[in-house]
Amino acid sequence: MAKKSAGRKKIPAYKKKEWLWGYLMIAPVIIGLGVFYMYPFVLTFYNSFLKIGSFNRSSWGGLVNYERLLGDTSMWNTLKNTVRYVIFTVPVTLFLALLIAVLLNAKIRGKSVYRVLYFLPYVTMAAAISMVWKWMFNGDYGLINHILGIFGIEGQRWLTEPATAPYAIILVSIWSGLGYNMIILLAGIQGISPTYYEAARIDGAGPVEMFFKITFPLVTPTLFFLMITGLIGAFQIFDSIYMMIGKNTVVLENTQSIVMYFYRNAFDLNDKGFASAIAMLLFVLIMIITVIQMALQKKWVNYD
Amino acid sequence: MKKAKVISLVMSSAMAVSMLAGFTVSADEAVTIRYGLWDSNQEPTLRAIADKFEEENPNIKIEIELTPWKEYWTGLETSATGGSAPDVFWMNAPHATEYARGEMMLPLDEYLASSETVKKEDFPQSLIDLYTIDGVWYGMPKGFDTCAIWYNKELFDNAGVEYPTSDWTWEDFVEKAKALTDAENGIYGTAVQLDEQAGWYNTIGSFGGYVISDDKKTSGFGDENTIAGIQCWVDLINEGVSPTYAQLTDTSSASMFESGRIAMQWAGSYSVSEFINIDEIKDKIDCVEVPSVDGKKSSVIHGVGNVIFSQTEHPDEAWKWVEFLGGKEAMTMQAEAAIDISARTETTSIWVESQPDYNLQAYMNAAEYSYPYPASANTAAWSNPMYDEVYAAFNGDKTAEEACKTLETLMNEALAAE
Repeated sequence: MAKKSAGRKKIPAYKKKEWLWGYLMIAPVIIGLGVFYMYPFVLTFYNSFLKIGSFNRSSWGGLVNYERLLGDTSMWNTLKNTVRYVIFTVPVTLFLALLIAVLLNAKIRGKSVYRVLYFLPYVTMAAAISMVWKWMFNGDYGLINHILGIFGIEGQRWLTEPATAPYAIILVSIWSGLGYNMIILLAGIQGISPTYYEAARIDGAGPVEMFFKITFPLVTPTLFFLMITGLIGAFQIFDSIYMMIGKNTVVLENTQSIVMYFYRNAFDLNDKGFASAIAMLLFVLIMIITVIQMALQKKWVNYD
Repeated sequence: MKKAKVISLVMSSAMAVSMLAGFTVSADEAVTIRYGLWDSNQEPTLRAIADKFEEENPNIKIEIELTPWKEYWTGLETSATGGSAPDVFWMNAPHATEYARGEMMLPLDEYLASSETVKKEDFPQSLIDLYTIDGVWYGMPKGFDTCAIWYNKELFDNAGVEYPTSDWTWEDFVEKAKALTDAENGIYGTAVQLDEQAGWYNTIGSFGGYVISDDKKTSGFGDENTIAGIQCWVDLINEGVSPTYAQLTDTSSASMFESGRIAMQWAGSYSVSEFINIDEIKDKIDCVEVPSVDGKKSSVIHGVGNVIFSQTEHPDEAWKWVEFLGGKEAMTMQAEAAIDISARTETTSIWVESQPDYNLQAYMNAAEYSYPYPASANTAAWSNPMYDEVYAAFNGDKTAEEACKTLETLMNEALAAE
């Protein structure tokens, strides 16, 4: 505040040098973000107003892509599919991950082995996971139907029936996402001071009560972080669905996600202008959800 | 402090200079030509052909880049737009016009005029025409594919059905399929093909319909014969002689044929090398021409072409490779390995003779009653909806007629926009 006087003090040389080093240090990340995130984003926004053909030849289209988007039944189905995917995957994964994290925090033998086993799906390539699960779900030769057959249950065509395909995909996503969420939640739980638990034990609280009164409230910051990043990631789901369902399948309209629809328009149908409009829609959607989450933060997240 | 500064300056300039050294190219440095293709069945033979070429041209190295069919065109378009497509790559009829008009292929007329080993007359005219767009020739024909039917002799013997002969009719085909189907044991007489080249394009022709008009302006899907060419497949599913559409998307008909669960499999000549190398069935199968409908037989004909990327840095070396691929030696090697029916007229019979255990002559005969693969300037704009509509008909969501009429409207719109 003192610097606002008429005779402004010169900024000392060492301060300038500090700033220079500061900028130099963050320069690689900023340049990376600029080139690989900001520039494509601006370009996509611009492209959504163009009509683009093969090899990027384009002409001005105005709002024609957006008008088409609003009237497109495939787009509404895709939105429905994606929202259904998100609603089932994220909360269930978080809930199960929290449960497992609490269990793996207790005194049991072979804890680290379990942790590795649960984390393994997360470090496996999505392509590998999708291929293996696709074969397991196969209607005629898959492992799942084979095992069900032993118990006398008739197996379905999990990935080619409209009723079961979306849930098969959700199952695989929950399975592969558990590990990551579990590890983060475990870290969050281990950050809770043990004195709380000791005091509660002295007062005679059981494990369930301790979970709901101590563990859950104090792990809400971690849950909040995982929920925001989880939702953002879930809305962008592409590879597992693309690899398990494919491009020409009877259940495409029931399972296609927004990014899959974007991919189909951009690369298979050669209509990058329309695809850019789809991408912008996804951006707006995720932004709205995130803003809502941030606003609700105060209601349920306890920062002590 | 000063000494450290001097040393570090000297070291960093030494590093910088040594990096620059890597940029100098000497006159006799090896040139690498990248060759893009999509068929893993054909890769080993093409590698052998490339090795032969490298022996005769020691300063050129051929690097084969295999991209699976599903991703080939999307990957190629991206790399072509970015200027980094392979120097030589496989082209097909549906995309030829698009790439020609987009100026992504090098015109080959001048090179051909001065070639000593390759002339246009060495190839069937229809294949040259396939890759001549707006009067300019872009693609060296590689091979041609027609369609025929493979049948499992063991399944025929078990069911007591006579083997098909080349003069059989569609009614014979359906009758045999019914006799061969044993649903309890998971055996089907035939399978509906989810690929148009091995499937409905052939029946559309046999039933007397057409896919696209000769002037490429109107769709043929409104024609009642075309609709019949799709309906016949739907009937096969309804009669129970083919697995359902849902089953076929789960497990491909080719896998089912290769495990001995399909008695008669429609297949293009590009599937031959795959089938004859599967141990479970290779001694039990043979092929026969497609059945006739009211005395008419038809097969769609298509052939891959080798083209040069217009922005390649080594056009002369790329031409040498393309010229070699079109020459007698490469064509013979290709025919002997049965990976593709060689386009070069003098070598086509070698393909038939290379596998005397099988009646590959069926594919050669098909060429005589074939029509060129339907394509236009932006084939993808109507061929992708075509899959959606035809699959909806196969799945029973619409009748074949509804699907074809919807497709006709979509296709005409797309063609008008070209």
